[in-house]
Parts: sequence; structure tokens; C-alpha cells
Amino acid sequence: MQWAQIKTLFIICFLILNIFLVRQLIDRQEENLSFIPEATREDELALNLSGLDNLSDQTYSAPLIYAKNYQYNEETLEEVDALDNQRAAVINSTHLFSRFDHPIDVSMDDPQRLREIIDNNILYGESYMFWERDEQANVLIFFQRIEEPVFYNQHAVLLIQLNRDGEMVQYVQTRLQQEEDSEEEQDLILQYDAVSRLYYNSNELNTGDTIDSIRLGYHNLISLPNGEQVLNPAWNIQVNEDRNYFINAIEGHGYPRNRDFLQTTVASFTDVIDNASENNFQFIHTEDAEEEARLLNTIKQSLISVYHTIIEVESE
Amino acid sequence: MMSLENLKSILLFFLIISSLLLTVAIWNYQPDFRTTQTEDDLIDAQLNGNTLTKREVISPGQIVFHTGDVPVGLSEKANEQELFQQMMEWSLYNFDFTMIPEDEEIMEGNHLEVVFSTSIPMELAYDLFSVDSEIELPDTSFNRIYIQLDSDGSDQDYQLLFVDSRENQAIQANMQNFSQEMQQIMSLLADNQFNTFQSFVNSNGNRIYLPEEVEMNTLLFSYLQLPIEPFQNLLFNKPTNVRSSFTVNGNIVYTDGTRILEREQLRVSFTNPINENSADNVITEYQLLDQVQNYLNTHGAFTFEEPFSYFLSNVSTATHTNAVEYTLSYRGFPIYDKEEITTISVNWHNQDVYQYNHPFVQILDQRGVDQASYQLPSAEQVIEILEGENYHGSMIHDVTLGYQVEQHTGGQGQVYRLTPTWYVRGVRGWQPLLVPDEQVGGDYDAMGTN
Repeated sequence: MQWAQIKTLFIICFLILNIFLVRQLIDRQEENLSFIPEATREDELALNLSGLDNLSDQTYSAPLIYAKNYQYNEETLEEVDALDNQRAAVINSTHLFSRFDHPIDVSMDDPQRLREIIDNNILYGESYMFWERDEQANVLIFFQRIEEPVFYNQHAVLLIQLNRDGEMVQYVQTRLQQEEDSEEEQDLILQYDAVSRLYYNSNELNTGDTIDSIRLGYHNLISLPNGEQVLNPAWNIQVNEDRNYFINAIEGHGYPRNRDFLQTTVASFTDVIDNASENNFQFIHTEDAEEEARLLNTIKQSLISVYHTIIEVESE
Repeated sequence: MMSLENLKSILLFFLIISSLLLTVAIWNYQPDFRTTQTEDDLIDAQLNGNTLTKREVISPGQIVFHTGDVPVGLSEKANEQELFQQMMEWSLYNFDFTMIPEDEEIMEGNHLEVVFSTSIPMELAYDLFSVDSEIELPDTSFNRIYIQLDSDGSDQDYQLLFVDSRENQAIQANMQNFSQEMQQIMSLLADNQFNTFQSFVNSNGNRIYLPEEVEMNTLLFSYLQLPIEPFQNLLFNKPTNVRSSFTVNGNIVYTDGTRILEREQLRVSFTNPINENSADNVITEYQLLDQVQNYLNTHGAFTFEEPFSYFLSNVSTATHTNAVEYTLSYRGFPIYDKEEITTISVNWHNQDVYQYNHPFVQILDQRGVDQASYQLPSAEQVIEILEGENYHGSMIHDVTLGYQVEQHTGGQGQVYRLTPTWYVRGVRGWQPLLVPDEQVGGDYDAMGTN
């Protein structure tokens, strides 16, 4: 009987002890959580930006890409040769300038048809992704995809010039080629973190802005003198349907805006025409030197007029 | 009855076990504060140079004694440096603003004038002298210190003046145990040789001092090329991602797609374009110097062997550039040259490097014996040149004796040659004195052979 009473007493004691211990443990865990002020930052972000629900919680990984300029060799030139209705010049084996004999109508309202036209009239056209149409300069900008799009890279771009009737008249194409097998995949920062860094580290976002979409691509700032490039995975964040930002997806730093990309690219393309020595030209579908000179000149004048249009718009 | 007792036994057993488990759980509970450390953090990013304190990078261009008819200074640079060391023992107090009278001597009577070649943040007084950290120093700078020698500490209200020659305001201060400290200074000077200074008024209306007799020789030194790997490991987040290529002029460019490191023949230069813009929060020159010097010390960036050293030659905070620069010196004389192998410069934004230039060679041991140099123009001749045709209409901020460094191939193999040279600081920084043509082959050469 006495033993039974002692047992009851012990049970009560241990019960109290256990309640105390459980509370201790919970306290410690909460203490740990309170070190992370994320909660308030999250609230602030949610309060000031809309469209955060579009972000994925998934963890992505991607390798860095080492690429160099694609060389248009004999074989690929034959493929260009197979394309009708255009006369082309390859300069330094890296830049393809081409002009259509008869302008091709592109309907911007029908993405399917645009895709078809690009695929059928441009070498490796299927590897270029439509980025935007510059209304002032009347130029379509396409970015090359190496698994993912390579954003704003002068060496991985397709610029198509349109005439007033919205028909393609000429284009310039550059390509990158992956140099070595991809290195190991690297873990990328979460989409949410990319937006958060854009919001807190740059002063670019305002209250009320909407995050429309976010996608993975590649971007870099510096290329090596031999043309080799180290392409870093980057999150492209589209805001309010017209502004694009890029956040390095490994380190999380922002990139400068590419406001004068078209201007500098067009300028560098005209430089390529001007500075190339004579034996760095290869022509396709031309008959004599006179025609070649005329073709080059037409393409160059057309690029220069695009350049002037951009500058005029800027100075207004 | 039995079954209830059994139930109680099981309950008790369970409670004892769970209390034990909970205790263990609390003991072993460790919050997960560890940041993810990758292998990259462990790789060697050391240049294995020296570390320098803020105190060690401040060295005066001259210490001028205004005790007689003409300004004089110590003829040995080493003794001058020793004197400055002694000065840095002073404990100062009572800092206050004071106005500098225009068109008058800044300090009357017998006094010392310590001249620096660059402006120094006032807050550095905490590091240079012993100053109570509770005393608040004004956010200004100085490039000269005047020390009253006659003061008996009673009739004079201050003994030191910190002056920035660009301002008409100065900081006055008092010294503890003034007469005792002065006695110590005087005893230190007792057996020293003195050298007279010629004074010259620069374009800003400040007096600069040129030593009249100087013994400096031409010297030859071997050198060492620094390894590039520590720079890569230091400056890139993930050195394994870095690729490189040659430029047309033989330099090597390294990039990870964002940052760029260029290995030129004689120096490395680095830029991190994403850190180009300095955020709005401004830092003081002192904080800037503190952060940059910490950064450099952490990776042993001061690559020199005694008696070479680095001294602070610029610190400035402007809207878009926070720049700090150190210049190499030999026995207290600055070494300037065109190839920029003697300066370490850092542009510092947002507590991190924006641009970084570092010499790629380190001057090492002396080779051969000192060669008597061709006769340097005397201080008088220098002033004559500065007042003459060559410098007509150009700004002259400062004049100093230093060494010019050049690569030299001779009996000793590839070496660097230090040649004593007069330097003039104008709009384009430090440049060798332009000696007029007719004098090059004439007077000075003739004097050299005499």
C-alpha cells in the first residue's frame, strides 16, 4: 500500500519535471528562430510587391557555361547557301550579315508564324528566342539559347531590321558555342531570394510594382580578349511587363541595366564591317566584287540609320 | 487493484525514460548558426607581405626647425624618422578649432614644422599620439603640424597646431608634460648634424622646403615576381570558375564573367563592375583608411623588405570614388615612377573592393655597391628652374627628393635601379623635375664631373 502511494507521488513529480523540460526545449527553439528577422522582411516585401505568388519554391541548379564565338566554317556556309532569297557576308568567321532580296512579311500578332519564318529563313533560327521589338529603331531582338537564353550578349544575338511595312529586310547574327562540357551543377538562389535582393539591394523597385515572371538564363559582363566567355546563370525578373532585371543566380548580385544594348551592339557591328581586313570576308549568293561592295554598303548604311534613330530618340 | 498498480508502474517507467530523453535533448541542442563554408574559403589568398599599422604608414616628408635665421632640418633621414617616433609618444588634449591669421606667420617664435606630403584625417591623431578615446576629434584633416618650442605652458594657450594648407581653419591642442617632452627632444637632437633648407612658396601660397645638401646614391636591386594565384583566390568568389586569355600586348586577363583581373607586365589591376556605384551612406576618410588598411593587412598586401616601406600617399572620399593609395619608399624617401610598380591603390565602395592595383614585382636585395650619383641640382638651382621658363604658368603643389625606379640590364643581370631625383607635384601628380635643355649638358653635368 505504501509502495503504491510512493509510486503516485513519483508519477506526479516526474510529470511536473517533464512539463518543465518540454517548455525549456520549446523556448530554446523559439529563441533560435527569433534570430532570423526574415519574417518582417517577408512581410514588407509582400506588402509592397504583387505577383509574388508566381514564384516557385523549387530549388534549381545549373552549371556555368564556358563559350566562345561560333566559327562559320565551309560546312555552315553551305547551309547558309541553301537559304533562298538572301545575299550574305560572313566577316571574321563570327558575324553573319544578310539581306533579303524580297522583304519577308512578319506578323507580330502571330507568334507561331514568326517562329516559322525565323526557323525557315535563318541558319539555326530555332535556337534564337524572341526578346523584344524596339519600336523606334524597328528592330526585332532575339537572344540565342544555350539550354537557357543568353541575355544581352553581343556575341549571341540576332537583330532583324524591319521596313516601314513591318517586313524583314536584313539581319545580323552572332553565335556562341559551348566550349567544354558543363561543369558541375551549382545550386541557385531561390526565385524569391532573387526578388528580395533586387528589392533590398537596388533602388529599382517601387511600392506597387508587380512581378510578372521570372526565368532562368545566362548573363555576363566581361568577355576575354580571345572571345571566350564565362556565362553565369542569372534570374531574369520581369516587372510591370516592361522592365527587366537580372540577378546573378549563384552569388545573388545584381547587374547593371542594359539600356543601351541595341545602340552599342549596332555600333560594334558597323565597326566589324569597317575594320575587317579584306581576306576576312566570305560572301554568299553574290556574283562579283562590285555587287559584294554594294551589298556591304547597303547593310552598313541601314545599320547606321538604325544607330542614328536610337541616338535621336535618346536626345529628345 | 493489481492492474491499476501495474498501469502506474508502466506510467512511472515511461515518465522516467522520457525525462531522461528530454534532458539529453536539451543538452545536445545547438542552434544551427553555422554558415555554409565551402572549400574556396580555405584556399590560400596570401601575398605574404608585411602588415602595417595606421601609425606605420604615416611618415613626414620633413621636420623643419624654425629656430634661427634660416629653416634647418636633420641631415640624416633616419634621425628624422627617429625624431618623429619620439613625437608620437606625446599625449595630447584640449583640441579646439582656431582661425589662421591671413598674411601672417602661422606660428611666431621658435617652432617645429612637420610637413606631410598628403592630407591626413584628423581622427588619425588617436593612432599617432596618445589621445584619450573619449575626446572627440573634429572631422577635418591636416598636412602640417606646428609645435611651439618656447612655450612655458602658461602664457600660451596651445602648443600644437594641426593645419590643412587648403583651409584657413586649424586645430589647436595642448601637450602633457610639455617642458619635459621638449627636453627629451632637445637631448635627442644634441649630437645631430643639421642641414639648411631653401624655402619656396608653392602655387597655393604655402611654404615648401628643399634640403640644401643631400647625400643620395644610385642603387641597384634584384626583384621578385609575385605569384598570380593569391590575387585570383582573393579577388574572385569562386576561383575555379575563372578563365583567362592573353591580350594583344601580352597581358593576361582573368574573368569569372563578372569581375576582371588583368596581369600586366609590372602590376595587376582588378575591377569589380557590379560594385561601381557607391551607396549613399558616406564614410569618413578615417573609416575608409581603416577599412582599406584592414583589408590589405588581412592578405599581407604590403610586399616589401626593410628598409623599403609603404607610406600613405592619398586618402580621399568623393561622391563616386573612395580612394586610398600607398607609395613605396626607401629609407624614408618616396619612390615614384611611370610604370606604377611602386603604388598600391584601392577604390573602395560599400565596404568592398571596386578597383585594386598592386605591383606585380617586389624589389628585393641590393646588388653591387652604391654608385655615387651624378650631381643632383642643388636646392637653389631647383628653385631657379621652378621660377624659370619650364614651369611658367603651371601649378606647383609640392617638391620633394625621391627615387626614380627603372628596369636596368647590366652586369648584375635584370635589376631595378633607383636614381635620386627631384620630383614636382603639379596637376598630373608627381613628375620628375624638368631640367631645361641648356642646363642638362651644361652646368650640372660639369659640376658632376668636378
